Amino acid sequence: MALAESKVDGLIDVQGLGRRYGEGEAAVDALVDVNLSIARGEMVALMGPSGSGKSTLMNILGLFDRATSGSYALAGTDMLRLSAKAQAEFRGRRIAFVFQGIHLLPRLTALANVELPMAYARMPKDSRIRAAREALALLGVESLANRYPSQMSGGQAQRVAIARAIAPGPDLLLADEPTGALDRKSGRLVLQAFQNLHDQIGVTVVIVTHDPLVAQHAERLIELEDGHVIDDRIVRDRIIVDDGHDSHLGPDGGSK
Amino acid sequence: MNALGIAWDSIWHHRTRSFLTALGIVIGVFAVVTLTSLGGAVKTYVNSKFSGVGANLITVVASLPRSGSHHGFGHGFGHGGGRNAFFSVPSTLTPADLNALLHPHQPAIATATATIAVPDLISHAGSIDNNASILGVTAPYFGMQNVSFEKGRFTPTGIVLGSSLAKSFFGKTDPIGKTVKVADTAYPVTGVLKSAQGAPGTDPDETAYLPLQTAMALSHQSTVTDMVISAKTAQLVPKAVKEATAILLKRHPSHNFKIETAQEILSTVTSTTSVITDFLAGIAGISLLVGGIGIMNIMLVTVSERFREIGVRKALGARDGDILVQFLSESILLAFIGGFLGTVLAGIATAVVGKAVGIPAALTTQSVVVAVVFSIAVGAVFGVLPAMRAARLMPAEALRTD
Ligand SMILES: Nc1ncnc2c1ncn2[C@@H]1O[C@H](COP(=O)(O)OP(=O)(O)OP(=O)(O)O)[C@@H](O)[C@H]1O
Ligand SMILES: [Mg+2]
Repeated sequence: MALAESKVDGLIDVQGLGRRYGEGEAAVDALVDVNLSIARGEMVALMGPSGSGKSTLMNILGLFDRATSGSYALAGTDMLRLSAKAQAEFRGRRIAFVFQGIHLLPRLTALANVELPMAYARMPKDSRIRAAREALALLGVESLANRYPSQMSGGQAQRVAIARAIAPGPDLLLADEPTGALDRKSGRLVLQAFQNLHDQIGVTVVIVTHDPLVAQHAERLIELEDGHVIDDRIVRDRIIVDDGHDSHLGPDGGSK
Repeated sequence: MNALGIAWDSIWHHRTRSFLTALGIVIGVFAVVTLTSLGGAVKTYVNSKFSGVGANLITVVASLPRSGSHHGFGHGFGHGGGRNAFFSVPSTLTPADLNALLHPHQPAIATATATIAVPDLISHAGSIDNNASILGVTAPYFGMQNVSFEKGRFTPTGIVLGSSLAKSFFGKTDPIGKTVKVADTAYPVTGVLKSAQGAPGTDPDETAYLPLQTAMALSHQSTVTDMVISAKTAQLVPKAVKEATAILLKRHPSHNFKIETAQEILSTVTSTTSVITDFLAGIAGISLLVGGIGIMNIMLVTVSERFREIGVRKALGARDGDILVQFLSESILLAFIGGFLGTVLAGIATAVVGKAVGIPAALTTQSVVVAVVFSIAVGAVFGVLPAMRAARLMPAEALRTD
């Protein structure tokens, strides 16, 4: 497609993507003909009513699920034709996923949880521990390294989960309602963390959210409805919500 | 990934369930190992019993004639007088047969003896020993049965006592020169035997030995119960059998005798025990199979309980192979623990039963190896299906079930 080729720094290129659940009468088209290009370094918010297909799209982008039609290229590689093993490698190193629930493994410490994707990527133990500690420090939870998930607050746990997502140094960070299970204060800390990751390391971030306040952290807003993209716009100047606590983010609009 | 560590962690986390699951394997392995070990112990015991005394011994007993002639049978009947209570076929073997075996010296035959069972009671100073048996023998008997003398010797006139018998009659006093009574006749004790095991079916400690001729006269018999020939070596047994058969056939053309070697008896006994233990072990093996199905069942439950964990691991880059190894390790470890516990219990049971029955019994290396290999195989075979199911899950599918 012309659009994809014109994007010099394109990371995600989705063309005519469809996902149908079930067959025949009972079939549900969760995604219909979705076209989407996301450049490296973008921070995108994905919004839309419940059942509009946000999670379905995220699952396909994260290689958790396969599209039933269309194409998906990540950094120039056709994702839908990869072997299961190659997909697993992408999931471990290139893509990071932060879930709505806090999916830390309960019987592993924070450090072991953060190490896990790098262990699956067969990274040597010492560099894995170094990267894990750095990631925990980046999210301000290095003091929790030896705690188990049951010994953390929700916000702390979610920040450990984000540390786990970013520790292998991914190109793409996907977050499906990452603050959904958190109170406002914890939610804000988590969002702040995303913001910092994006600003400081330049990770490409896609966040699914229902919360307009969350969406306001993004530079670009994509809206889904009934499996179709109905709106895709750039929010050049981010509105800083002034509730007395939000940190001020420097004017960096116009990155697109 | 440290798959065994994860597997152990999960097994330990569900201790009760793991234990109950492993119980099937515990029982299966316990049954198989105990039965095969005990069977092996019985075999070894029987073997040692036979080889200790008489791998080179050949027994001749009377039998129905092989040919159509009833001559020998009728002959034996007239002489035996129905007094021989131990064999359904009255004996036709005589001391003359023994002499024939001994005299024209045969290359494979070392020596021979004949015995006669005397159905009388033995007493001393009015007290009767009901357990004792009385046997008429010739001098080579003791050497052939591998029993030796504590004191004294076997003479053509006296009586020799087994060690328990001597003790029960005389306590600590020296029996030599004292007398014991058999059927109202007093015999001087001329020898006492050392305690010995004896061949199967004999108890030298509880036996009194009279000279063959004396015993025959005492029981009004002109025939002996059996004859025992010893071959020069165990390897020469078949040759000795041939020689003995040739000599005896000349004297008993109707072939009214039967020659049995200890080896034949041994192989009959051991093959019988083998068949029985193999059969029982096979039945016990079925319980191992049931145990394996139990493991599969629980592993399927475990996999569906841990959809979320599987989803998270796959989302974090776990390959299908990683998940497969993780769950397979768990079922194998579970089966191995079951097998280990079963083997330990089998070791205890084997020792206890062996002690109770009075044979030296212990786990055989072979049965332990078989048990361990088998339980690992059970874990692997029955773990494959659940592990594959886990490995093949798409992360989205695995994460949806909250
Ligand atoms: N595994 C599935 N099987 C069948 N239908 C499904 C499945 N997953 C999602 N759907 C359907 O696909 C559509 C899109 O679902 P999806 O979860 O993507 O919505 P969403 O935008 O994430 O909603 P929410 O905001 O409630 O999380 C819905 O109609 C849903 O019922
Ligand atoms: Mg959703």
